[in-house]
Amino acid sequence: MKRSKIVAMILAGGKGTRLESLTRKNAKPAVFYGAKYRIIDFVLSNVANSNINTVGIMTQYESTKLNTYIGNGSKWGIDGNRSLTSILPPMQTEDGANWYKGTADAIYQNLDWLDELNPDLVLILSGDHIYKMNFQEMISTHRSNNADVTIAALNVNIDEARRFGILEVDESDRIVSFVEKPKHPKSTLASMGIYLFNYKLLKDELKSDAKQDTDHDFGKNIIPNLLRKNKKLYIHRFEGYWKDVGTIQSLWEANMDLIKGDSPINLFGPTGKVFSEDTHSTPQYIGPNASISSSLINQGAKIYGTVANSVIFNDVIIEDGAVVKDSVVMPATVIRKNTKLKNVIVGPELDIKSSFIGDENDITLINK
Amino acid sequence: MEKVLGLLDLHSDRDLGALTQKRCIASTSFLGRYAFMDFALSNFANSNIDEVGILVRDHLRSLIQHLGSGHAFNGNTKLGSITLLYDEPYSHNLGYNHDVNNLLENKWLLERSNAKTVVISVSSIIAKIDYRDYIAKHHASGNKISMIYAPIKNARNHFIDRDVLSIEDGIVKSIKSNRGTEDYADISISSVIVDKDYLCEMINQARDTSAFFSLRDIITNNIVKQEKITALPFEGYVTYFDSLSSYLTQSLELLKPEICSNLFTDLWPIYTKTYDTPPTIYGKNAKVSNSFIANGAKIDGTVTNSIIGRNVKIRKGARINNSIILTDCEVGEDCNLDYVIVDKQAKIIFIKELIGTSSDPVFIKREDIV
Repeated sequence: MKRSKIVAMILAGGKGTRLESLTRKNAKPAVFYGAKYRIIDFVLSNVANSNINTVGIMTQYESTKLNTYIGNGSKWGIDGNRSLTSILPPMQTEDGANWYKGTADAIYQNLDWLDELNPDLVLILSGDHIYKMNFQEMISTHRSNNADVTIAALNVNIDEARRFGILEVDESDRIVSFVEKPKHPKSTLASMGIYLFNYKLLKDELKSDAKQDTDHDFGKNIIPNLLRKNKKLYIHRFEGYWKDVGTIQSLWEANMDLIKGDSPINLFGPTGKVFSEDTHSTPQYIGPNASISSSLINQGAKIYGTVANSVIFNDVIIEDGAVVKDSVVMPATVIRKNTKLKNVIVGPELDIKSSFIGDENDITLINK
Repeated sequence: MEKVLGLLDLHSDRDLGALTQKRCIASTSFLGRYAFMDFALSNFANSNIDEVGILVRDHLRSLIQHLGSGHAFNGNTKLGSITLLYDEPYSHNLGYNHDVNNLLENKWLLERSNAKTVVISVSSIIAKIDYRDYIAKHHASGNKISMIYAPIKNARNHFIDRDVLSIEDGIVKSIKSNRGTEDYADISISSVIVDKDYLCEMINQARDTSAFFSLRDIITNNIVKQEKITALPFEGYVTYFDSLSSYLTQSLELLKPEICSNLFTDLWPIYTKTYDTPPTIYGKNAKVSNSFIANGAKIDGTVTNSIIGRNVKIRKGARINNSIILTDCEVGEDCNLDYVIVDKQAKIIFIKELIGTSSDPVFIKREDIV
């Protein structure tokens, strides 16, 4: 295998229980977002746009659709002659069959794959966050600090801080403490779950962690351990849009963010394009009596009714007299005549005949 | 399944006026996200014809740009192939740059192909044709050539100069040009099915008869020589593009769902080069009706009866009526467009009103700023 200085490892095996039935037969990274995309498009586009050409993607929960979608990485261009996209599912070995028991274990079980590549740095990413980031800037931070590990961090408000891994740093941004979901946060710097490791150290740590009875988790075990050993852990400060779409409410909010006047995440920008699948759909057709405003609509959609403040995926049909407001409608769903929807997320491939007016503070999912 | 070779003959397409000065019809933008040739190539692909040669007349650059590797049109990207065939020695000589010379120059494709049957099509006639049925009928007829024709009701002002077949008992008796003198005509839709060996024989015959003979000429000549040609009727929707005004009117005709549904069905996908463009965003002032909108557009104005291409920006207060705006254009605030065709990357900013008619649309050149 070809040698690569930096390898990205994407953790994409999680279940995403709080997304209700959207993840019943589908992994969270493959959940639809933003009229055209799936959540994992964002991290894979970040990898591509950061000129990282080797990526391993660890899938586990309901992985069929996700594995098919990832394919050979061509949707993100990571299939060129110096590129490699490998799907890394748990596998049977001489020692038996193993599921991935935690984030650290998932990487540990793929050390053979990493060894063949023998990289200097390994960038560990999560497959279920919406953000645009140039990882080369993080690599620069890592190198200029001569760090062992660099963790991407962003400022959150104090109320949110309890949901995250919270980092305390000194004046040089060196990490002093790391606490997962603290009851009384000492800072508002939250870990984004993005870790840049010197490979040799990562390998040693994972091997020693594997021998112990732990949760095999980066946040709970590996990072605190390294801090105890007084290793050089630094943060890389990220200022920009970052969303963990863990719940139906936050998935809806992240969709609505795209149609705000000055959307915090730019899908149209000249740089950092978000790559995705391009379906062989017709252009979107807007019917004679249609009314559309402040909405994001993908190709293949046919709109005959009213759409306001909504995100409409490919091949959705909204019939005459139907009204869709403040909602998200996923691919190939049909909203029948005179149906009224507000403040809902509608799953893919459904036939919707009854109206539903939801609450914007408690978004309802309509799905199989 | 029998292996069939598809040939897309771009020599017999007409031009679309100013729109085709730097490109051929085949690669001209159509319905916001397609190029004309996508329909013929998708007919081949959906009929399991995976080996395709494109007989290029001119404007190779724009064809290459749209086709890329051609993989979008191949079922199996290693077994299938799309080959551009170009008659290099004669490409700039109007008289000699015809399909027979192109095939003679690139005869290796016919010789190397394992196919026994060849289907020839054009890009300017748009229809959804399942060649599998016609190939079966062609073989059943026992003749060496079959021509697919459509019974047309408005031949007085449609399909002008295309071939009219006179048919007796399912056999083509003569071919003449449509001069627009009759309402009804059996128009050849330029889909020809021919045994490969006979096609090779015909191009040699053509060369020996006249240096200027095209495929159409040699087929006509063979009818005179009593060669039996099967006439196969096509009953579906078919439309033809041969001028700038037909580009506008025939495209806008497809906005009618009952007409459009003839070309687009779930079982007959139209493949095209994809650009992975973001979805289209509609602003709070957008008013859109009866229009095709491609992806990547930003629309905050009024769009009616129009076709909007990829990445087009329509600013607040702009009004677009009965118009076609191609990829990457911008229509500035309060500009009023009616019956206008705007070629790629142009910007309408300073001129606030552009009014054409359906027979004489206003045309704005590629990359122009007005």
